[in-house]
Amino acid sequence: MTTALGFMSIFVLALLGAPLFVIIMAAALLGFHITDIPYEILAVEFYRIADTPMLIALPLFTLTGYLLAESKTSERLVRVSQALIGWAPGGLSMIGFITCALFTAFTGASGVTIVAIGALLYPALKQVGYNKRFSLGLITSSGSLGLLLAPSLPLILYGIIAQQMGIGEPFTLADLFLAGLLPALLMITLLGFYSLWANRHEKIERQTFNLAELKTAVWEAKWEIPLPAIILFGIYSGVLAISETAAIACVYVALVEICIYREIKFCHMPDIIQRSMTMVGGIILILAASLALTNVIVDAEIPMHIFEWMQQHVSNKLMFLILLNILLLVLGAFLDIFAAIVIVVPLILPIAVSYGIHPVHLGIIFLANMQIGYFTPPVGMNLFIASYRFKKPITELYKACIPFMLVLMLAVMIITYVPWLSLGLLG
Amino acid sequence: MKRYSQLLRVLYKLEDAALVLLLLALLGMGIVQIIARNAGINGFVWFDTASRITVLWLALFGAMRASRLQNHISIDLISHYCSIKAQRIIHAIVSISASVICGFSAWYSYLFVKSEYEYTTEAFLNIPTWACESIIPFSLAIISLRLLSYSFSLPESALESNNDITNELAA
Repeated sequence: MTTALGFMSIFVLALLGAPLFVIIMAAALLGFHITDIPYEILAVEFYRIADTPMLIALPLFTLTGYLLAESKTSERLVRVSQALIGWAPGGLSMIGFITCALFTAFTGASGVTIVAIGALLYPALKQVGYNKRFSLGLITSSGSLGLLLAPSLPLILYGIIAQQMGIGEPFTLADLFLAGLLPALLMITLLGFYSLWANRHEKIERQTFNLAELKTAVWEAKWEIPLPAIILFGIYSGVLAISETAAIACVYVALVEICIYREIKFCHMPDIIQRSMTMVGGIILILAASLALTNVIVDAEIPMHIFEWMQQHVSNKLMFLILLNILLLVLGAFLDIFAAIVIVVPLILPIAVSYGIHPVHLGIIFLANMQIGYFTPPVGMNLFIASYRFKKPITELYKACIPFMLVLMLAVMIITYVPWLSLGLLG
Repeated sequence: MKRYSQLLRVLYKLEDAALVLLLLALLGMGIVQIIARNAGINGFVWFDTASRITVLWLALFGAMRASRLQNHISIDLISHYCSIKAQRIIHAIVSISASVICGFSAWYSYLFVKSEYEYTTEAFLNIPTWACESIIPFSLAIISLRLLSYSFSLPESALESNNDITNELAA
């Protein structure tokens, strides 16, 4: 009775908006109480953060993303892609998808993409003839495109949690990064086709290909273009550890933006570091608390019990995957992505592995669903950001995003039921 | 009162400075490790442990700053739809409860660090493990105090976002 009351109070506190790490910590402490584990173990679990080498990459990649967001990288990125593919049918919408995906991979889907890239593309899209609703939908739904691409923070966080649990086939963070590539390409391709189909009756002005403009645009962005290559080389050549790759990327971007482009003043660096590390602190604190809760969940064999119960009702893998997609879409619309990862992955991973799903595949399914959650009505975060940024009523954004949501749901279904897309490149 | 706010300002500055220094240390250790390994220089093996502990300190200092700015990740499904008055009451209840939970955790973390002090083990370069762990009770205690002290002031961001959403819905 007391236990039930305790969990009820924690649940109510969560709904009322208590900090998430407090909620998870309270649940873990209650779990300790039930299973007679001393409360001091909480500190032991917190200290496990210092036993996780992969976490070193997290603050460094976050700072890299903040630096890119603070400078005019978004403008240069849009200019290069416009010169490169602006002449093709549906060129400008493809530019939107590709630049948003690349930018989100580096900066996280924290709304920066909508503010930085969306603000540039929205007027451009309208100017060449795309209608207002389509342009709004494109910008809002693309704000989270790219979550599956390296080095996105949610992908790293999923890798850390899944590896800490050590369930299923072992994998590296590099495997996870590789696994996201084809699913992300599938999403961009499907969105591209949808864009062509949706605008088949519109008169869309096309840009003529201009080699001189392309050269100028590439020359202007010459210091930022090598960045993805530096990161990919660092991760896959085996020469550098991921944390070392993150350190090099961070120093490189800082030097380029401060000394070469001079768009960030050196005296602003402390402020950027403080803001980015506040975000990192928030995420790692939740992670630390969830390490404690995960242990309680595993000790109490909760995933085992859920699995046994599910086996009576869910007979096969396909049925499980359908239920998983529905559950994740709903969760994605209500929960913050980092919260969803730390709370749900420890529960779902053991069950998914029991149904024969590879942990890397699960990670991709998980994040692909969460990506849609960012703009799922009524409370998807990017809807509010776009509504605020473009001064449009939220209901207009709901309508604008629905077609894009359906296209991405189709992509998520393909990603879920064709594991090869995620696992094919892993050999 | 004036002295108290001056003291707070100094503490905030120290906290901000610690964040910058820890990040620079983490970055520095990463770069030196790459150079040393490629130059065949040994002797920086302890950087590995030191980097991981730096991440813990960095995260907890970041979390302290987040609590100062009332900027924690939360689910918060209900308060958006409440009046400002109701929001204030909910905020006070939630903050005081969260403060108690953090205080409880800080106390037991302190007991753990105290027991570690008695069995001195070394983390790296003669630095004892308990010293590295001491940030855990310290940061939890600070967060607990901040949650308590802010329990009667609703964060500005909450007020703003609430107004934005209401305005947009009204439009």
